[in-house]
Amino acid sequence: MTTTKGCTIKVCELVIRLGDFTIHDGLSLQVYNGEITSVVGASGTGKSVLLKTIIGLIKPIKGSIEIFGQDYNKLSSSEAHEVRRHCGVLFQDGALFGSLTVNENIQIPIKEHFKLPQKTMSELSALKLSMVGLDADVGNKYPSELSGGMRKRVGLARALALDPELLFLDEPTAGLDPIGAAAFDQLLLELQENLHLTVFIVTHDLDTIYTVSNRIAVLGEKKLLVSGTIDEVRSFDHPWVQDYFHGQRSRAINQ
Amino acid sequence: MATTIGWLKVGRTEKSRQVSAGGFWTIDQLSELQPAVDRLKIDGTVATDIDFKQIERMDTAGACLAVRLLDRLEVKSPQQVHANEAVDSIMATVLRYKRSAASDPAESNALIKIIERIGKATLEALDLTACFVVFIGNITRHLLGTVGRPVRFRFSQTMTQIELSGFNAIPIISLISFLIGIVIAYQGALQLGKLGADIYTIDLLAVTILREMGILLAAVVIAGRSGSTFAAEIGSMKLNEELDAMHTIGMNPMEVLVLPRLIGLTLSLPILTLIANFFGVIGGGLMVWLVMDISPTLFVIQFINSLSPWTFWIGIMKAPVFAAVIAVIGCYEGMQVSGSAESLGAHTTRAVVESIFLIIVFDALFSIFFGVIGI
Repeated sequence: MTTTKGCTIKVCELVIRLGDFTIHDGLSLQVYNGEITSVVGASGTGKSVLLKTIIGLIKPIKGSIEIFGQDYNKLSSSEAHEVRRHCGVLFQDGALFGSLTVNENIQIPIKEHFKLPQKTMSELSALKLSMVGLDADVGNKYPSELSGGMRKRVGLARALALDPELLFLDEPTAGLDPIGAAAFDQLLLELQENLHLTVFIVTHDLDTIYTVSNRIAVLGEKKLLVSGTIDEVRSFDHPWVQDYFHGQRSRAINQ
Repeated sequence: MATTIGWLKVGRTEKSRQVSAGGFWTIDQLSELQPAVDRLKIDGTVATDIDFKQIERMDTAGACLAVRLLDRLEVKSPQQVHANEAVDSIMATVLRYKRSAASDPAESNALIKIIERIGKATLEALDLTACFVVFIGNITRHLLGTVGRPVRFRFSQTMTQIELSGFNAIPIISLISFLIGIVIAYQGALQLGKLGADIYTIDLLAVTILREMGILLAAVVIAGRSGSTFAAEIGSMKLNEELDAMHTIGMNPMEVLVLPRLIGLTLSLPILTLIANFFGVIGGGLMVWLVMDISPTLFVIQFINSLSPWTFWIGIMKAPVFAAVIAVIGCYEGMQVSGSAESLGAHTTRAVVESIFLIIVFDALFSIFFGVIGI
């Protein structure tokens, strides 16, 4: 059934080495159009490294990465720029620009790619801010004046600024209170439905995985252990996967 | 690609007006669509029908604009709007969030803004002065505390600081003083030669280097080298919450970070001054020998004769004071860093500028003081 769907991201036989340490050795992964794919794995299995490689921040030793059907490493810089414009990234700590206000942070991707009147950009940044559940007066504050959870939401607002077709989220719900995290999950579902977003999430949050994911990819042993729907992955016979999905925390959710 | 264009058309019949939109209502089309929406004439006399059915793709930016279009046309009943499900749902999403989004705060007038800025700057300056006084008080308290309980003195950190900001600065300070010695000797010989008093070049060299230039050169290099390092080190530790972590472990940043730097630099700078003096005189002597053909023996005799008992000590005496100025300002500015990388950069710059400025102010004060007591 899934074979009829196109791939937004297609990672093939990826080898990544940082220093002498091999992080991934022959990892292959597909992310399908309009789906939310969660990547899980124990700490240190290279989930964030994989994300950074896909968005082009880390160069792989071997293997190919296709985004929207184009091989990222073969693109010219202007083509790569165009691909980036359709990707939004939320970094773990928000990675906001400290010298700009929240509003300016959200407007900066728009300014970089389009020429729009200031009034429109203020309107758009106010909209994105309210979409991620923040008050309008947050817009004039600096990132250093915000709490960790608020910074994360502003980071998401900035990632959404250009209405990307492909959204990368690095631990989006870590550090949020459970109610905020649930609201975040709902927001994500709503956005995905309305904007037909394809989302790539690196997460540890079982709630997020159960609530929003269409597909789960489990990393381990330097490659992809298994990928599929929740039920497919849950029944996969591997000690870590069994532990993860049938451990105490997971049971609490299933009840 | 023709399909990616977004458009807006207005047609009218006798009874009604038909506004239809289609294509891509996305952020890339916004710069073209927006003027079209704003140009639209408002005509309240006839009912308006709005057709969004031909919109192929709409994102939140496009939906935002569509909502503005409906506002302008004063559309009240939803029956007037015809759209497919996708457009409906995204517009509903935007509409839901748009309500709670307030506009930017109102711009106040220019005069009030200026007064506000002056007021803010004044308060800030008062605040900074108070902070600085408190900081100096804190240092003094801990310094005295360490004298009372020598066990708390961080010997190894202090030695590290002496190595980093003292020992490692020797090459650059030696080179600079050597070159300045050459410059002074050459200019002295040139000018005094016109009066036939070229032998006094040596007096000029002795007084200039020992009293003023040796210590000033050493202090300015150290202000640039160590003042900035202190501010940046302590500042980035503060950004990283390392100072808070120190407090919770029971280490006092004053004791662990500030005192070793202060004491280390106060001990190093007099020695660096001595080295600067030495190389300055060597450079000058070399130049005198080459240009004026005065032998090293004659140079030494004239050099010693030109010195008053205080000349050398006046230069050295300033060193600990300048060192304290550099260390205190560097550490203080580091502690003031907050929030962003920009603040780190600003405070590092301020550490260097302020300490060089204060060094020169203190040098002038010393000159007046020595003039008054007559040495």
